Amino acid sequence: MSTTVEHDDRPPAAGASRALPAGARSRRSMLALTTVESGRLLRHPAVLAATAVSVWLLWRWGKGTAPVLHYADIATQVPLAALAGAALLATNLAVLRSHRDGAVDLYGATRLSLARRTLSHLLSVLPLVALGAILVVADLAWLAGTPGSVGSPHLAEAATGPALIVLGGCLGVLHGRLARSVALAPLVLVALALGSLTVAELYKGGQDQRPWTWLGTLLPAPPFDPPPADLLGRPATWHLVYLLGIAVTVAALALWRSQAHARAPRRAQAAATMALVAALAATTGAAVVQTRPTSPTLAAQRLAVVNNPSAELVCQRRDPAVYCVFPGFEPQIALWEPTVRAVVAAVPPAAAARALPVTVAHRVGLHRLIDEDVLDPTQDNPAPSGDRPGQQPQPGPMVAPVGTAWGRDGPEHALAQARLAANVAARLVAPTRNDGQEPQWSPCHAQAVVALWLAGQASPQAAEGIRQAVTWAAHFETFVMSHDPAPDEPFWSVRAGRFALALLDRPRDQIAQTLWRNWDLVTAPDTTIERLGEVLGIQPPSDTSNPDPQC
Amino acid sequence: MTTPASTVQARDLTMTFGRTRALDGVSFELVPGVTGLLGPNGAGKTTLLRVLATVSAPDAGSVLTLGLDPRRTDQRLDLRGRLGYMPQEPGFHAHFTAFEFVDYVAILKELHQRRARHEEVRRVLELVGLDAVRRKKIKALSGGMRRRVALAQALLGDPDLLILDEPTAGLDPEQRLRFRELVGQLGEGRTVLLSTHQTEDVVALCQQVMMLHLGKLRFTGTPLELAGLAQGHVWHSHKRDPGALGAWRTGTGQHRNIGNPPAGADLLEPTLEDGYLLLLGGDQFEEVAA
Repeated sequence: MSTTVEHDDRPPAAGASRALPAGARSRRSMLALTTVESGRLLRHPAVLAATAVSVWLLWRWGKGTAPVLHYADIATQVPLAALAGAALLATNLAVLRSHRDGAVDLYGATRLSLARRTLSHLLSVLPLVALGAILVVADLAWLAGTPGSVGSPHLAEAATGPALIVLGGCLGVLHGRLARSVALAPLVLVALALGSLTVAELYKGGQDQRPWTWLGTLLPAPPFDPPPADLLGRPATWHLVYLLGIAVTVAALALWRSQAHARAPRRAQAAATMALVAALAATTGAAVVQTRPTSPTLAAQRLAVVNNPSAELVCQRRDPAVYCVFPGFEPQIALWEPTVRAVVAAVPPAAAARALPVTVAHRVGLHRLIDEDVLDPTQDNPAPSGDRPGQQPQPGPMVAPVGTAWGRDGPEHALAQARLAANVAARLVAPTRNDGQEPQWSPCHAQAVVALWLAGQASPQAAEGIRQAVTWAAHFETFVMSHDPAPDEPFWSVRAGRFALALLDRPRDQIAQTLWRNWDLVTAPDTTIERLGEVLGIQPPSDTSNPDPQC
Repeated sequence: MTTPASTVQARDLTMTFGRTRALDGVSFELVPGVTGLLGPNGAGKTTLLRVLATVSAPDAGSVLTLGLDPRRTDQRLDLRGRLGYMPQEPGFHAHFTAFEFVDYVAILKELHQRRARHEEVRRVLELVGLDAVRRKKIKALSGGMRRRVALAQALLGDPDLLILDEPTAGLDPEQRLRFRELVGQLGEGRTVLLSTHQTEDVVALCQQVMMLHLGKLRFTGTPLELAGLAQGHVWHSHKRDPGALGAWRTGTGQHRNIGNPPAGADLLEPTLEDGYLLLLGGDQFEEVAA
């Protein structure tokens, strides 16, 4: 006759603490599993590769810039999206490990429940999120220490990249619990990437005229020079809540699925359900708030900056110029000064004395964010050319517009230097045009060639920027030195640009001496490019049908 | 003489997959020591072991293991802390080292204190003779070493009940010998249920043997009793006897026949394998099994 073995008072198994209640022991084991899974996640080849890509992108985009930190924080999001994608793939593979390797039976005979294992996988993403946060903080700290750095990062914008990693990890876990195929996660990743790119492009095209685009995951910075932070109007905090809400919803669904599969206790199921409901509520609320139209106050602020930018700027006199910048952007003045001085130095002193001080003033493309019907159609100042934005600045001193983006390296920054140098030169060679008559924003004919040559003297980068602008405009008659021209931005004829490039290829002293000797002639508004060619003894590029359309 | 206490009591276990009845009213008791579970492919051995290991629940019937009822969540979890299960295909994570793999299973078994857990992992790896290769990735280990890794994880926490599903499959004779030594030691003081196709393993290791065929338990008893079933049913002849249920030519050139011998047949002493084959032989031998 057999008898049944009763529960004995065995010593605790090695590594376990029988003194602990079962729940506590299970929680500690879950944390131990989280530690192991975190380590494996951080060492996963996809994560290592994505980390390298993220670091490279952050470095590449920050290198050589004079950063505006409330734009730089937005720029951290795309690099960290690489880590988010890696998190999706790696967590999915980790969750499916037991299925892939056929260890389901082995795991099924162990104490740690499927739900706790799922929670471990979800929590294992946190060190990767911390790594992402460290990259963001390090990047912004590095940029903040860069000369000319302005602005302050927005916490929510900076946290969006790490939040994307949370979302990627949670999605990887959920897909692992929904389907046992490892092919699903890469497909989801591709779909998400394509969807995000599409929405981002729509966002760039419409800015906040399409607020629903905020329902996407990743939205880049507006594609113009950074305006002051309070004019950006990005609902960054609500978007962060939205992303985290989706992540918690996804995590709760993964837990809920695991509990349903493993017949979890009702209390745990209730907790997961409550988390799911709360996360859904937060996500929905954030989605509604972030897609609200631009507030009237912000719209009015933007309109004021477009209609009367000088009223929004603070000015400093630093000979030989007056610099007018958005409050907080003063460190950029020191970056511009060498360019301005170099252009002025290339002008005969007497002529320079007549034109100085030249006013350099910030302009950004905020008009893109304003409905056209809001812009004042009764503005008196007519557009100097047919290709201008519809709004004109208030009458005032003629300024040399300059953007808020600046840097040492890269084609964009070469163009920024060329823009400043050319616009300063334009005000030096045509200083008397704002004499109560109709303003003439752009130098004409020989003036334009001289101004562009002067601009090329500022720095090799400025000369390179002019070369790029002329090359890009090869099939047009005119060009501007900015992708987002201000209403008072000088326009240049391509013919003048080509002739200026030809002059820049010749010895500086030879050109400078001839120009200085004939300064009044070559800067006279009626002097033609052919006449300038005769003075310099250089054949100008052949004439076109409409060589100076802006004059 | 005292009766050993039963550690597992199974009653009318039934489990069906589609139209296949993998377990059909299986009832038995296990006592400490090594019990062999014999049966051909598809007999239901793995299904029975999965039920005992609490991996799956039976459609009907009950099992009481170490005094615990796995139908109750709390008792099922307690039971999982006291049993070690070595599946036929453990599902190794090839990129893990042997240590990492066993450590991972140790965490799943809720051995949560890191230092103590690592000591335990080292202990079981040492027990199965793998201490020297614990840092090697599993994909770099031989088949025999992998089986020992699988056994090592089953030994975590010094379980009262060991469930081993074909642990010697694919091992060469030397590795099998070492495995037998190890399992023989493990069977002292705990219950070991060993599923196998190898009747030699049962002879060498098991105090008890069960035989499963087509989801039904055909035999429970000692290896000697199983062999004894074939008493009077094994004979040899110069040619294969047409009346034999099974026959094969031996090394002496004579044929060993199993079945109902003809009159005057030269009867042989049966082995466990003879008993096993006889039980598998067909309906005409049902009465023998009974």
